[in-house]
Amino acid sequence: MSDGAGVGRRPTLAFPINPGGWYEGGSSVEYHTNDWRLERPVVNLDRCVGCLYCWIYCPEPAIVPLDREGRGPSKVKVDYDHCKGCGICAQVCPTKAIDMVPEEVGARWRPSRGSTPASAGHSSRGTTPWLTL
Amino acid sequence: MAHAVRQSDVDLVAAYPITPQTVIVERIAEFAANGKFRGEFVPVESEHSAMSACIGGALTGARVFTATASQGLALMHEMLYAASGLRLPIVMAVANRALNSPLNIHGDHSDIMGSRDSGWILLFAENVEEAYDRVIQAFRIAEAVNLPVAVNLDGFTLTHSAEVVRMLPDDAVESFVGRPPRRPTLLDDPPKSFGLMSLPDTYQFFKEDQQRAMEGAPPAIRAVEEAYREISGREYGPVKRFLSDDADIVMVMLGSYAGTARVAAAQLRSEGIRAGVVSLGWYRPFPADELLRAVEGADSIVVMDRSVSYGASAHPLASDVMTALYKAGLRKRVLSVVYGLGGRWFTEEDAKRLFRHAAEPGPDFESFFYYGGD
Amino acid sequence: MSAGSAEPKGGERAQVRSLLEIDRRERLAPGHRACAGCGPMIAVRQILQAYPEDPIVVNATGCVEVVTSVYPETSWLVPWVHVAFENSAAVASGVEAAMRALRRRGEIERERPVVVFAGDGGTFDIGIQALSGALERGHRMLYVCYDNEAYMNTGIQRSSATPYGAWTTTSPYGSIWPGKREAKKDIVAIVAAHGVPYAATASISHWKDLMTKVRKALSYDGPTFLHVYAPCNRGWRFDPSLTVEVAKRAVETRFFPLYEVENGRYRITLPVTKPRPLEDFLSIQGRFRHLLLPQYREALEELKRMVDERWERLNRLASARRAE
Repeated sequence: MSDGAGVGRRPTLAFPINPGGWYEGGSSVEYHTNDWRLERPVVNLDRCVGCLYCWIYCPEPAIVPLDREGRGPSKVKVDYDHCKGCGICAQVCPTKAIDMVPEEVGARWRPSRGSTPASAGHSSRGTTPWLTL
Repeated sequence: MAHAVRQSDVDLVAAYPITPQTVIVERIAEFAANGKFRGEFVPVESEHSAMSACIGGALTGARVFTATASQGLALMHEMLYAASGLRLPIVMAVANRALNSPLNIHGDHSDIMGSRDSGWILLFAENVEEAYDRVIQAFRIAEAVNLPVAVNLDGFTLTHSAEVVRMLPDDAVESFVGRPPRRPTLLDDPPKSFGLMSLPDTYQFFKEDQQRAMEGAPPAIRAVEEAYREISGREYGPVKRFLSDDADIVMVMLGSYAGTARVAAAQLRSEGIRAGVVSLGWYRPFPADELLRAVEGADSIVVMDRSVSYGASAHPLASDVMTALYKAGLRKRVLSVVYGLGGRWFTEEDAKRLFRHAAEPGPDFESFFYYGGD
Repeated sequence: MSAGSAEPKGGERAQVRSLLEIDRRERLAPGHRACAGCGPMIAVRQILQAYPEDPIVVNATGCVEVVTSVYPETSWLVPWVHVAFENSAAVASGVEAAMRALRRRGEIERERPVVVFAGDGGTFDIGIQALSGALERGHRMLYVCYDNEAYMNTGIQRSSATPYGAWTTTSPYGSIWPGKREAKKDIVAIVAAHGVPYAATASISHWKDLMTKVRKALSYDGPTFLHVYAPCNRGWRFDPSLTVEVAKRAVETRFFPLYEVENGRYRITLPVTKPRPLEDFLSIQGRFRHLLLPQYREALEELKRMVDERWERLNRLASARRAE
């Protein structure tokens, strides 16, 4: 197959085009959805009793149990690379240990990393240029 | 064909009945019921589900097979593109039959022609033994190029006839097909995702890869055909020639009516008409080079289409043939004939009539529907 | 956590008592493009966490599939396949049958569990044929329908799972229509009519009931079905933080009863003896708020009647079996 003397040249991508379109699972973690949120959850570890309700109700998941391996109560932390700020965790927490706090104007987030298209440039720029509070 | 499936160590057959394919599937079920078919037989509730189940099975690493015809092929049309896009080595027998409406359960090629762009390798068998051979070869071909393969045979003419088939011994076929080579499956660890959505930045790449696979398939197909010849003594190739080397008029066709045309061509020689017949064993990838070599000495080509491409420049086979000629810079007289639709008969007399007509002077291009003698 | 395959039928071993005993290894990676507060994604997470071993996921086209797989990004940390919209049950049938064939010839040691995730559109409507076929043939799989009560991924069009009176883009309310004019299809009854060993409803708000039901379903060697209520804040018009609350009120008002059908025997798994008024559920969703206006009072009464009738019918079915 010719490429039309360069006119039909196939661009190079930062990731493979696997025959049949399969891909290794879990690659979406490199895409940071942090710049979607307008407010962020803040966990008050003193009030947190480690019930894990926030963890089982988070759609992402962006709630990470501090004790990843064990069983039994575990307090949590927020994965701020991926949290979209939906507020469900705050709403379901039985001890009201999570507050939803507005993201600051000019807050900086970690941009997407890696070789996926999102991280190659189209999103998660890492700033809030459009917020003019 | 059921025997071919039984012998080829197939893991999964998912099929739905439709005339005239039913016999194939019934036989497989009989084998399964008696422990002669060791795979899983899944009697699905529609042809669309048949292809879907085959796709699921192929993605799990199994060797899969299905069979259908006409409306069933049309119903699974959506899934044909999926099977090819996912690059799965699925083998399917298609008992070519006319498409509604009006309803007609007899043979013609409209069903497969409607799916010729789906990215399937398309082989055509002219007789029952060839169909048997092609199914066995299809598993190896599909697994070598990672594209699905359809073996086409004329509905009723081939599915409901009694012919002698020299089957190969079970162990010969089993060692010929072997087991499918390793490829990515749902059982892999770390886990893989199959069938992702592909946005405009990536989709075209996948499609080009499919095209490359299809265009690069001929050497792999030839290799399988040659290996099969070693164990069977039989070989068909992309193009089957009969008296075409010195012919003035060559009839190009697909399917079982080629046999009829050959009888006519042989008989016409005594009338002084140098007639020849070229029957294609492959339709996709289209064997343009071999076809051109077969017809290069002829002045006229009669292209026989058992399907219609409404409003097109030319009917399916004629379109491929004429494009091949054009690309090679050749100009020949072409008669594009539509015939045999809905099982319409075609006898040696009919073939002779067409050859004789082509032997008369006439326009460079003609296209008409042929009905036959009264 | 209980061991893998070959568990006894349902009952005590399946019961999930505490969230703290659930394995915390995630089977879904973040970075997917679901809307903030997506109900279906919560359903997917809860179901995957309930599995004792990694299942193979077969996903129909829809919100869950589209947001979790944009080449080359995939959120699935378990084997996953998507083929098309209407055929997830057929694809799953092929996967399941293929594994059985491969095990029989000794190429694999044992079959992996198969779970199907399909939306209400891909189950109640376009997917119902493939589902029926798979159920009838008895393939071993858990089919999960995540119900957000409309074709959400294409922009909130009605499906046969949309409740009576709900607003969608193809069943808007107006001077003549009160919203959707048809009742919601009873998918669990349809599934149960196939004689499957286990079918149940579940809600993302009641994770314990949901996860117990997943484990119960897994104990059966045959087709099982879960109809999971998974609210969509975009399509139902409510604040993203209220997804779980909306699902909870659906259960508490008897709008979405939690029950199971085990070998034909009906059992209400969460009795609601003092239901909240239906308005508590309707008023927090934009798609239903119009029903509280005077001109739609008839439709509101009709909806309430349907809810009551269905609750009574469930009770009759549940007690009928008990009497045997």
